[in-house]
Amino acid sequence: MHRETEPATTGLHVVRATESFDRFYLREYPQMVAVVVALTGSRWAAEELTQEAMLRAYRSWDRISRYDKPGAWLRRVTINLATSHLRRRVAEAKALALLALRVQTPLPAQPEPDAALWDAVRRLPKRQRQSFVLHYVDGLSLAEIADVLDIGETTVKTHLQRARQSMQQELGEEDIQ
Amino acid sequence: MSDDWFRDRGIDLVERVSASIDVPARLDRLHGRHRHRTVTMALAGGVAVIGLIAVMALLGRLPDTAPVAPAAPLADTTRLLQPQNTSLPVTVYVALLDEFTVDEATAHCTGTGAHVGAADGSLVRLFDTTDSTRRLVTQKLLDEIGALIDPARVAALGLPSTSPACLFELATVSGAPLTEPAIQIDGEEWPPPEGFEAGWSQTGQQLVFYSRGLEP
Repeated sequence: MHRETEPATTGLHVVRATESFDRFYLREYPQMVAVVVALTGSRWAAEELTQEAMLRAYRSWDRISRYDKPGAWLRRVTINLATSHLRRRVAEAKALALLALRVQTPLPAQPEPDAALWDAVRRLPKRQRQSFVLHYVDGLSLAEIADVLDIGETTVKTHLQRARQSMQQELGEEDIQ
Repeated sequence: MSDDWFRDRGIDLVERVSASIDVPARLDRLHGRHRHRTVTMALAGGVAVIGLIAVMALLGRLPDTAPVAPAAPLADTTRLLQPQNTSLPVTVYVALLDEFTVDEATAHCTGTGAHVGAADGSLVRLFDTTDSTRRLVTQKLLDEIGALIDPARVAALGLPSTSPACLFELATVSGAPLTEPAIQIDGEEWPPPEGFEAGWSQTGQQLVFYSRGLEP
């Protein structure tokens, strides 16, 4: 079993000696599901992909728990899984279109409130979308996002600015009131 | 549409998602899934070990004379070099080399990664060492061969040129199963050279020109 110790604080920049996997899971799982819901629009996929990432973390927890930022590792894995999931879904949609089946890929239940906003987020370019979601849904700082996405902090700032501009162009003020 | 507005929407999403998930139950499922995978892997490993033991036991009971004839891998050059293994996946048959002896052909192949398997006076067979290097080796090999062929003899055989590109066509037709025993050079179909027949290698993958009476 893993030793249980209290986390010193929350966020990604926490140096923990070791934290129990269960505590890590209880804290991070719902947060990551929300992030993946924002990225993919699929609640079912969000829970499955996050669970898969958590399972990978669990298998290597002896190693991952010693990282300075196990949460950053989890986010990287989850975002990669979400990206693969989206690629697969696009490929499936193309294949179906080729077959002329006129079958629409059903999106699992989308939370009703702010649907227009999150749809617009999912139409953003990949890095803008990831930066936006990590910042506004996950609450990460620019430095933390840069760490998770392995890009420069200035680049993250640019992605966020462009994402906000796109959102403002796409969503009129009347859509967000 | 301020920064705070976006942030509030994000917080709202997290709260709604969190409120709708039974996180401890999901954690229990994760532990169950991990155990399931572990047990499955252990079972698969056990089955593999038992299978291996069974195969070893079976082989141990076989008489020494029992035929054990798996297909030779391409990389197994020892087997490839045995002339009697005519059914091996030969990559390239170049009938134009019929004037070469084994030693001459071997000398020309030096450094190309290819091996000369057999020569019978009218057919030299050239083997690649591995599938992954097939194209490279073939091209390199044919470049060398192309420079060595007597144009007068090629003209007598009815082929259009001795250029490596022409010869390469001979090799590239071996890349996929074909339905007609013929080759195309620059889009034009060419019959086998006089004195040769066209056919398929025993693997069905190569178009072969062979001297009559020396079918692959």
